[in-house]
Amino acid sequence: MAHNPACERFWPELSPYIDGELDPSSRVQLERHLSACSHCSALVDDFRAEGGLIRLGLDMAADEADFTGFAQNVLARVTPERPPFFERLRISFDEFFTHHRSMVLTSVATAAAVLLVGLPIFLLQGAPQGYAGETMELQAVRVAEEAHVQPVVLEAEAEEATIIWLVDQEGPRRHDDEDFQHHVLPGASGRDAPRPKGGEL
Amino acid sequence: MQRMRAWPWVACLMLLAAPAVWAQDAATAEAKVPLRVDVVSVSNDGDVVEPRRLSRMKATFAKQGLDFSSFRRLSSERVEVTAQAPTQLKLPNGKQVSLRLDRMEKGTARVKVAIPGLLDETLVTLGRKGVVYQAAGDHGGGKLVLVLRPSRR
Amino acid sequence: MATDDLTLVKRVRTGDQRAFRTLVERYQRKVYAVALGMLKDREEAMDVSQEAFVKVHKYLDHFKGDSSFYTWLYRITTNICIDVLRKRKSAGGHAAEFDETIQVNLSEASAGTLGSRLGTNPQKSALRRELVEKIQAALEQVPEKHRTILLLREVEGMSYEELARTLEIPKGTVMSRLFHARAKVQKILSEYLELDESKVGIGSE
Repeated sequence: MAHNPACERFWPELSPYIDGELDPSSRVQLERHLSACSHCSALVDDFRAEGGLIRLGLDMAADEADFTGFAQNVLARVTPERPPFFERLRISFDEFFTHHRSMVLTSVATAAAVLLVGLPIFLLQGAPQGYAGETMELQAVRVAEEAHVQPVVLEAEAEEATIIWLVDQEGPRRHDDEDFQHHVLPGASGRDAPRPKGGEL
Repeated sequence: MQRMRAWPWVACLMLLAAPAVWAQDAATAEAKVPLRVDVVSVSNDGDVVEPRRLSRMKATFAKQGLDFSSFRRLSSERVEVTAQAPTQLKLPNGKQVSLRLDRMEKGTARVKVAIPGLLDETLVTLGRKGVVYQAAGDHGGGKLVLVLRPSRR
Repeated sequence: MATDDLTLVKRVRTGDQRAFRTLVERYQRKVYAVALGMLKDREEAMDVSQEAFVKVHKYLDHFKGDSSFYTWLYRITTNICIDVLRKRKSAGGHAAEFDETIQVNLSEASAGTLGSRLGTNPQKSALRRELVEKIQAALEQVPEKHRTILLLREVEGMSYEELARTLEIPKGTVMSRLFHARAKVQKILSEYLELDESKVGIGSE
């Protein structure tokens, strides 16, 4: 396959030519050369064949690969879906138990002991510290003298609610009106208390 | 060896004994009593009940003749009340609420609520149910109400 | 009839994982082939392929549908490969640079060997297989940057403009690099074929 020295000028154009990236005027010139030069047109054939072989080669290489579990792995990575709550709980417990067996056993024993003793007490009280009583109850109200208000206690028994309302004192304060300063209300009831209108307050 | 084996029993005894100690009325001085304190603004400006659960409060108030159209919860806090130092809460109307454990009797706490300049003291014994609404002065065009509720731990 | 890619993509967007599985299974081989071609390492190619699908899933909202899904997937794959190759290079893997200015002498190579040998006769599949093996070997011998550009052009069909953008090199460099790559592969292949011409003995057909 002989070639003439003029060929070398065209070689860099062979690649863009087969890729369709050669400008029209260069292409016309090259094609004219190719029609006359067997060496260069053989090179073009080779370059074209290369592309086909590369694609074929990759296909064949892929055929040899094992894709078992490939899609599964991808899906596992794109769905970081957490397992159901109890499953997660079980897994973390398993792991914890495996690594801290003695600690778990001690804790379980302690918890059992506490529960055994603590449960009756808890049932007895049924609430946090200070809540041995059944309902919230008002014992006493004493308003500040300078506020010039008097307290009105309203008991809403059905709702188990107590409202301590403060009503503005009308006119100058009576000196003998000590009751308004210190109300001790054992089982106070709103029945006798005035019923102020909210809007008027 | 004997002595080695004895320690778990000692520990168990201590565990069993501890609740018995707790069961006694704890000294008031050491007690820490949890309490839920909400601050609610009531007014006749608009018709807003926020959050919705305040509709119960609205109904209770209405039944007692306290007709307000708007109930807005401004804050809700779980506080721990002790005898040593008062727990302070600042209200939006500038007033200060002070809560202090007044007494602890047979597992029942009595809490003293004070709002200087308005309320010298309100004494409330705590219980597992019920609620105490304490008027706490003016706010905006309406009133502020302190809501004392049992704390669910 | 198989569901088209775009429909599957839409379904994946609504959270249909089965649709995504179908897409993965449809393109896993092709994606792997590109990755293998570029990286020349089976294990690495498999990892990159998985990574490509994970990325596709993650950025599915960015897929506008103006190109085919396959093209988009390809781009993602090659970009990951290019990253891997860059990391390799910075780790001192394959540092040998190929001087673009060196004139390739195509006169020494026996031109036309590939074209004539391959032909179009389906009975030549045995020969084709042999050629494929040779070209794989040839690709392994050329510098990495030549292999990459050749694959991007031949397998992905990227234009010179796109090659310049993807590889971050001037268009002139794309042209010369591609030419050198092809010439080099052609030369290596021709030498192979020259050597075993007598052994295989099909060239005269």
